[in-house]
Amino acid sequence: MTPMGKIYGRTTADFAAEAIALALEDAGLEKSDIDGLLLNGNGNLDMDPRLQWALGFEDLSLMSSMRAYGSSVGTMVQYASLALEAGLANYVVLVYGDTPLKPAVGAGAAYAARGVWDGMNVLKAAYGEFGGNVPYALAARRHMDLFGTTSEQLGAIAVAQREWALMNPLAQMNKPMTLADHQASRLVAEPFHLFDCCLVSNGAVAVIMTTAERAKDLRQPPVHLKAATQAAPGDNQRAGREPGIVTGAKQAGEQAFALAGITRDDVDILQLYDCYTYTVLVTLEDYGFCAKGEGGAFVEDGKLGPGGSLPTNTGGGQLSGYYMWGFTPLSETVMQVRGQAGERQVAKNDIVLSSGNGGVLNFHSTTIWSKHAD
Amino acid sequence: MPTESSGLDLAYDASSAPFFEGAAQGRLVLQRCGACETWMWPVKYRCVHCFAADVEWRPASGRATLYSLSVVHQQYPGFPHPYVIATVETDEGVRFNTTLVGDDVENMAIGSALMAEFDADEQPFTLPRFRRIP
Repeated sequence: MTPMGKIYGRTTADFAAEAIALALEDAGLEKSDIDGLLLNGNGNLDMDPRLQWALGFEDLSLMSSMRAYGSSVGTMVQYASLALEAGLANYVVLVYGDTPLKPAVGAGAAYAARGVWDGMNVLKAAYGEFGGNVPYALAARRHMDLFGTTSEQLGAIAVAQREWALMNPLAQMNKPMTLADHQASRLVAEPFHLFDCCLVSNGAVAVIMTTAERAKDLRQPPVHLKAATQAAPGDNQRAGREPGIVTGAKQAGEQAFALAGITRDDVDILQLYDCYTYTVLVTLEDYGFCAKGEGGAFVEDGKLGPGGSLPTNTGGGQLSGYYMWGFTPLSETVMQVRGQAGERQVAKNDIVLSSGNGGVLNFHSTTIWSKHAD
Repeated sequence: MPTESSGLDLAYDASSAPFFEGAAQGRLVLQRCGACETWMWPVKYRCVHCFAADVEWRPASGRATLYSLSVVHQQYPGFPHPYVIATVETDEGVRFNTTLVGDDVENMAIGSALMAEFDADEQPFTLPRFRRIP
């Protein structure tokens, strides 16, 4: 992965090229070994199939820009693994890149400016629903009303992740944060304070996937994929449908645990998609680490942080590390399973669960990774 | 609703026109399946339940329940500071994001009974807003 954050004057294609070069070097592969390229389509014009040409890849047998918003990562891993298993490709590069930050443009404006007001979307602009803050805030507020979840409990997630970030040299946020700091941070869209919201980053991450057999000859310890699942529950615009309260993590998680032949008790480390603190809380519930509605009480003792019983988002996540959609959890998953996470390395790292989430909790992906081939 | 100073040049398109034309006449107009009578949030081309092509625009009751709300503190040109975005669930079973009017809407209880209201003079077009009813 490239440096992350407020790095200006470089294109997304430039970042993507650097990330891929770093991944090739890391794996001990040449560009000519690569026969598959999957791009995480994210609205950035560079993350388009033509990126293949900008990177100079030729004669690929697997190539696509895939887009399921923040859950794309799991769909890309799933597709790559199926293609590798079927012998359709040998070495597949998965890449995410973006450059939303420009000098003197705030994070909110960077994304709000991308709005397209077609069809009923014009209502979003008319009412003032810009970007993801408001719809996620509405889901969190509903959860609070149903279950008594508090802002302080959401804050415990942000604090735990900041503690992890302080040990991650790649993280953008490098100052300590207390629960009082979280509560004092400005309100964005109630119940969210600023520190409930993810960062925005310029940069890119690339991951190379191959078969277990081929991985034996590469430079790094292999990270074995045990399951890759998706769930897309639909929108919340019909009575009785509440993807903001029971997300796709429930279905995708159950399927992933069954495919991997493990239970949630076997999971050592969680890397959960964290566009907002609430996303972590609701995902923990839907994966069954606690009962529905009990996520607030579950996280408030700090068990997600360093030294806690359920290490979660150990690089700081997207709240305090870097915002590369599902490639934030995936990149930290790879580092933890390999045992290369430095000061923040979790001692027991046999099984890591990594999630993706997109839309407003409308799209979910789950991947389970292991240090062991079986 | 933003004023001209918001810098947003807003217009609705043909696919959603019945919703906005209904609002201009003081009615909440949604889509309903002629075959199975399922109500839908527009714009749909086939029924979300039975997939029949018989989707029609119909005036809804305007009655709804407050499902969630957020007080927005980010500042945007042309918007008051702060302002409220609410999710409402209509009596017909359609849920969508809108805004609230009345006193102390920031503290309105989830589950409050609501009624849609309309300002025919609103520019550039009329939007439904919801007010608490006893």
